[in-house]
Amino acid sequence: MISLNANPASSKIDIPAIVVVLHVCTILLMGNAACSRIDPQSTSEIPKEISFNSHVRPILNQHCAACHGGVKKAGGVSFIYKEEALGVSESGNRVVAPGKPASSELYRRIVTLDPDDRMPPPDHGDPLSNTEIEILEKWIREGAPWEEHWAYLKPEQPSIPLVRAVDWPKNNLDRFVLTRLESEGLSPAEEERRTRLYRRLSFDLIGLPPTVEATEAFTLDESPSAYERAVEDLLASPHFGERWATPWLDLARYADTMGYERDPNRQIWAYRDWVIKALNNDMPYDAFTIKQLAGDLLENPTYLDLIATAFHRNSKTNVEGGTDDEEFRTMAVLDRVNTTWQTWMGTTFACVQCHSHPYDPFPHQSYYEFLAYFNNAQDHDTKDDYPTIPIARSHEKQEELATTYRESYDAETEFLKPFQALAEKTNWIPLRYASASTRREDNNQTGNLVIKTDTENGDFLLSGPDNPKGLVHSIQAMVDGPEIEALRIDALMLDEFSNAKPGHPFTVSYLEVAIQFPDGTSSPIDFQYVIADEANQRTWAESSLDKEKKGGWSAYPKQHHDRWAVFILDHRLPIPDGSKLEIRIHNLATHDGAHQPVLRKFRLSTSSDSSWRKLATDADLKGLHAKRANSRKRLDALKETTVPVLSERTNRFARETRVFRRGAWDDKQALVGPGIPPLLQNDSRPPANRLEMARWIVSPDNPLTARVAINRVWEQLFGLGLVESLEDFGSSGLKPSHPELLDYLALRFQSELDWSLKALLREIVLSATYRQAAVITEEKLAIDPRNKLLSRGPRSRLSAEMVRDNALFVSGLLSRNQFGPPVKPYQPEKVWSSVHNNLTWEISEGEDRYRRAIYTFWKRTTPYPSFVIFDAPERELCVPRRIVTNTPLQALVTLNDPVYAECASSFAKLAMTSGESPNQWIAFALKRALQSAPNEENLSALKDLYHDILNTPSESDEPVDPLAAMTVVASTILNLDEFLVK
Amino acid sequence: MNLYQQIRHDHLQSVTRRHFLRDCATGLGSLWLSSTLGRAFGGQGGEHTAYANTLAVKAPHFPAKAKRVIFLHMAGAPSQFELFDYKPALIKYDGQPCPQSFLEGQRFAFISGIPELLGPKISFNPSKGSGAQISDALPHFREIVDEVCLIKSMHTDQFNHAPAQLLMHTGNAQQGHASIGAWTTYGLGTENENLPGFIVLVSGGKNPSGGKATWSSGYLPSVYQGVQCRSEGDPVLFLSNPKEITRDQRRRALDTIEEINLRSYEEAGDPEILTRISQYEMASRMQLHASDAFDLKSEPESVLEMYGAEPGVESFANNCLLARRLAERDVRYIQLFDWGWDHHGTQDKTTIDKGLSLKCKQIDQPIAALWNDLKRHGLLDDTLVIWGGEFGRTPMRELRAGVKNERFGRDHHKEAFTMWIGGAGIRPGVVHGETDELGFFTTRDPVHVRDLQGTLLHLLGFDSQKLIYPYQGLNQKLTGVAETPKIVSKILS
Repeated sequence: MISLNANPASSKIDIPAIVVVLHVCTILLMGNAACSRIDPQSTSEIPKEISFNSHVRPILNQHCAACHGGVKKAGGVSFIYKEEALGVSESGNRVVAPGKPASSELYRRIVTLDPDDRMPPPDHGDPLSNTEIEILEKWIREGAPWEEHWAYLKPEQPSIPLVRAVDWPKNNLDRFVLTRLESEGLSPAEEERRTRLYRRLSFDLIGLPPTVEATEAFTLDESPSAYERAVEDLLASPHFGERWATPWLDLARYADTMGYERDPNRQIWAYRDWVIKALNNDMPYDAFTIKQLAGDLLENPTYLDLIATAFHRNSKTNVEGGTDDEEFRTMAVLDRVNTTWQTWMGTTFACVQCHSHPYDPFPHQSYYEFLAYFNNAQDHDTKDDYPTIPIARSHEKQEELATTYRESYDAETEFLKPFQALAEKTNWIPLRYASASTRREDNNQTGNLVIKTDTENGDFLLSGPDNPKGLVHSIQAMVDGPEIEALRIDALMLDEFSNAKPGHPFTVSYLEVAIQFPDGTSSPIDFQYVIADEANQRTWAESSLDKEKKGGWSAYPKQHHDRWAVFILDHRLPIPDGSKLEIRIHNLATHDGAHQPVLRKFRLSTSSDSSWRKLATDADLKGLHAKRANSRKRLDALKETTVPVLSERTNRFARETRVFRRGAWDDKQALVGPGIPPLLQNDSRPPANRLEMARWIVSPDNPLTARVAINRVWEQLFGLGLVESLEDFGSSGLKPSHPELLDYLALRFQSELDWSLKALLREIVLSATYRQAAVITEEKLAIDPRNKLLSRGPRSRLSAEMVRDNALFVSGLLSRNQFGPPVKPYQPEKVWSSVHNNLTWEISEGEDRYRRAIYTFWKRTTPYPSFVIFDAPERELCVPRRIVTNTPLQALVTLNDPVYAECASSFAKLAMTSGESPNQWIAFALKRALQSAPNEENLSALKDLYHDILNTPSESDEPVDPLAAMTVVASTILNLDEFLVK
Repeated sequence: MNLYQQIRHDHLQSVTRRHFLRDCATGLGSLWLSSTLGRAFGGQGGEHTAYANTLAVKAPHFPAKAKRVIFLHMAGAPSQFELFDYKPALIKYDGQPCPQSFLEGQRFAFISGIPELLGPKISFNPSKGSGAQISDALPHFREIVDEVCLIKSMHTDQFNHAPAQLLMHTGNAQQGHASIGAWTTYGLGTENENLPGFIVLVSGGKNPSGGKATWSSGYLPSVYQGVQCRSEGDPVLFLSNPKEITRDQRRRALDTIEEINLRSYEEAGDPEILTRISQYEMASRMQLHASDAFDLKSEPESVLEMYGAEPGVESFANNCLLARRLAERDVRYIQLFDWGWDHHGTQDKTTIDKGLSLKCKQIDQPIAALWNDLKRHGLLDDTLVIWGGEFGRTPMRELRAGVKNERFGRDHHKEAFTMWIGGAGIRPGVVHGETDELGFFTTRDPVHVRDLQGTLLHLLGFDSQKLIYPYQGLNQKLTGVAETPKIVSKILS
């Protein structure tokens, strides 16, 4: 926005200046950096009835909220929360005294003539207009009734309006649209030509054009239910889900790579397929929501419920060397909070990360209370995307996988339980250390390992301060006999760390113990089991017994708690007096971050309790142990890919959540529990966990969810949402164009239609509003230039995905194969590269080159170029809205991209099979591309083109063959405006 | 005559030559805008319509010193200690452990334990004029150093490549924000509607770590995003006609597209169709002009030699020469990235001595050539040239995971680094800012990345606090919604 000293009212302006002036208008109307999309108080009349939301809040947001809002509360005054606005300022004055303008500081300050007192201060913007002052005065005089912003109040059932043109409406939706049109003196457009309408319907419901045959059958069907039947057929198409998944995948920030610098590949396509299938099956939106946000917490979740939770595993993972996994784990959690609010509630909650919301009543603390729902997921920014579940493509295999996965998980939990209980009650005897040292395994460089003896709870060992990788700790200790059965390691938190500020990672990659007898001989000790305090971790604790494996018992990437593990000896070991244990702890796991996994503060102790051997020889437990190992092997054999999922840390290992000062992840303040903003909480207690939170989102108590959902659907069909700012339903977003219609559809969607997307779509596409012809008259261009009033049918450019699918479809190349790993159609060389990532774009073979766009490999740092040019986003973050542009680079794609050149040539060949003469070919091609009977003038223009090309020798003086000429014609058709819009 | 009648009339008048659409960016688009769209804009931010006009030339807030920018980004972050910030104390203390007081509270990407200080691994010599100490790895730059301004007191918030590059170019360490180039074309439009207003050229074999997001339009309409052009193959993706289609055939096909599209407009009355017609025309002109702009073979041998350029390959030298050709053609924002400046010393090519010298050899002559060539063409008066990385490097030797490497390297450092800036509006020969004895922290006139951005916008004629775009309830700015940059006025002429 550019501010200039130009007068927007100036009548004589040359053309380039218009552009500038329009920008100026925007600036002036926006006030002093306060707020953007607030309707100006343009009327000079005082409304008879003052509404806080319609009249007062816009003035406050525009002129006052920058200094007296949610972020800055100058003088202790804020106009965001009722209790503050109607409260007392720092200087002790009533800000607004209901009924008494003269006693209200707000009123006094806007009318005073004292320039030092006058608000807004001169350097902060223009003074209020007389109308605005009068509105505020009247509002206060009438008792200063407060209203929350409309979007935070539950939708109310509007009465169905009465209309004059009673024959026009086909359902109630139309009555809302028509009554508005009538009030503006407009009448709706005629019904669209059937061929056009069918084309529009087909793109809207399945994202593909109709075939010529289907169009003909439809146009010839004169029964009154022909259109209804066409709608049903398309809703039942297996391609429905492919079309409607795209906007959802934008919100879900679905991509086939992890993002950030290296942007490595990520296996998560099973989630994309889940979305397509859920949409095809018309899974109700409430279930669709709950499964994606908390499928893992459902009672007896199915495998599909777990796959659904990958919604939030689409957050980015940073594997750039030297990055702190805790930092980027936190970034992913912040992203999940922002994405949840954006996707389901159209709210710019991200603002609240750093401070209370500037315009909406969401306090800073609410952000972190909501973050607590996500902060306890197990994943932590690792390259392997842990935790993942194995996936197979065939149904049978997948069923077996699901069972086996569950078995392995349960077997491990059940196996560990009795041992864990025993570990808690065992009387552990600490070792008495004789010596301790540490060395790098490869070059023998020494590190630092000291024995701390002056402690309350027994001696411990401390290494540090900041250890290099590859260390092996060597410890000699006196051990008390007469026998031992188990050795325990406690990994303790260093004093400077806590749950809020978790410590460095550790991994015991290998534990080596020998007993040295008093006579100087020694003998290695073997262990049977390793019992860790927590089951089902990223690495199996028993790997600590395997010298070859680098994994083992660990805390990774950070240690939040004191941890322990018990190593059970394979027999009861007699300890002659004066024996020593020689212990070598290998820390050979590596880490791409700054802090290597090294055991830094730890204590060793032993037990002679015979219960250990007893448990270790228990047949049932042995069976569980074997079962776990077998099901693991079986899983490896069955799995074809994996998908990352959400999985909660157990309560004992839960992370605590604290407020971040000014949003900085490493500046943690007060401890908070899970919660939702007070304004939206109706129950006495907030949702207790992620599952309850998901249920709250789709409960009738949530004023936003249904409105936001139907608004997104509306935008997909009409090009503009009923609330144009899809991404912002807050008080700085745009007001709904048809508020009653929005509420009517929202309530209907969540009650009568049972959250069925297909039912909602059916209702909209059957309306007379939707069926209008997309014809703009001069009158409508003047009154309703952007079709906000819905005075005509929608006419919008196809989405990036549809542009591709449409060209492939008409040229006969489109593959109808569904699902599976992403494919790589043709892309120019050298487009695809990212740092420290040597993966290449290998063009897919055969049919996979011609799959629907939704199956194209999505690389975040370099998305498929022709999609980007047609406004596809990168999907680094949640994308609430694609802004449609119209640029020369788009023309270059459909004219020159080899994909489109191939389409043109294939389309030409196909056309040439339709008959003998060029006239027949061209008529066939036009009809196939646009479905309508060809316009005669267009037909002859294309014929002329064909003959001109054929009759003009090429540069090499070679005669042009008919296929070459027809290919030029085909490419021309693929570039017609009518071909590129729906 | 209304707009449609005008087009129809013109179309009939000249079926094959469409001069009437030549100036569509300023002419047709605005005409249409003025006649129909005034109401639609209505002052409501966040609404988006037709972009035919969006790249039209716009005046900034106040008269600008600079009309265009060439930003040379050495991705990976070159070492200031081997190139510009000469520190005798580091030679003296070479091999000594870094004092603990410096390390407290610092986070590093790879260093752990107590690293040793490391003296410069490349020798320095004074420039002829001012005597500024410049690395022997940059002999050509030493010749022009007194014409530019060195800022030795740069600092940033980020110490990993991708976030730091994003911060440098979009004002935010996270993806999703608009880059300076996008802001610039958003604010000023473009003076050459036959070429993109914001062009990105990459060398070194890799995109920068921050990826495409470093030239993203973020929340701004996508017309403002940087267009990555290539020195191999089509300079702009899909610029060439398919080989089966000749230029004449294409011209003839475009005429037919236009004719039929005009008929669609007659029927549907949708102004977007007129926009599409003009965009097809613009695409056709771009085919001609971009091919010409990127045709290095048309340069005389002497010029190719001066730059060390070699037509047909991907190189920084070629990109420098292209930068001049694009500046000449009034491209608004020219962004070069050269990959391979991350000298940790983990391999031979990433050592701070030999590895860095090798990279310098690839850029030193081309940059001096670009500078002198811009001067020769009189372009330095209104072109701003900026050189730098996303952060600096440590005065300590890399101690990765606590282990001393046998090769010499330095880790990432955000507290102090050097950039240089020159050309339009910049005082030549200035050395701005200072660092401490060890070059660890800035000690005089610190310049945060945000301050540099604010200064750059200032030179382009903008008040950084007023160049805004409303999105998600906030007035988005390059330098952040809440922060205010300090204009580095001491370096301005």
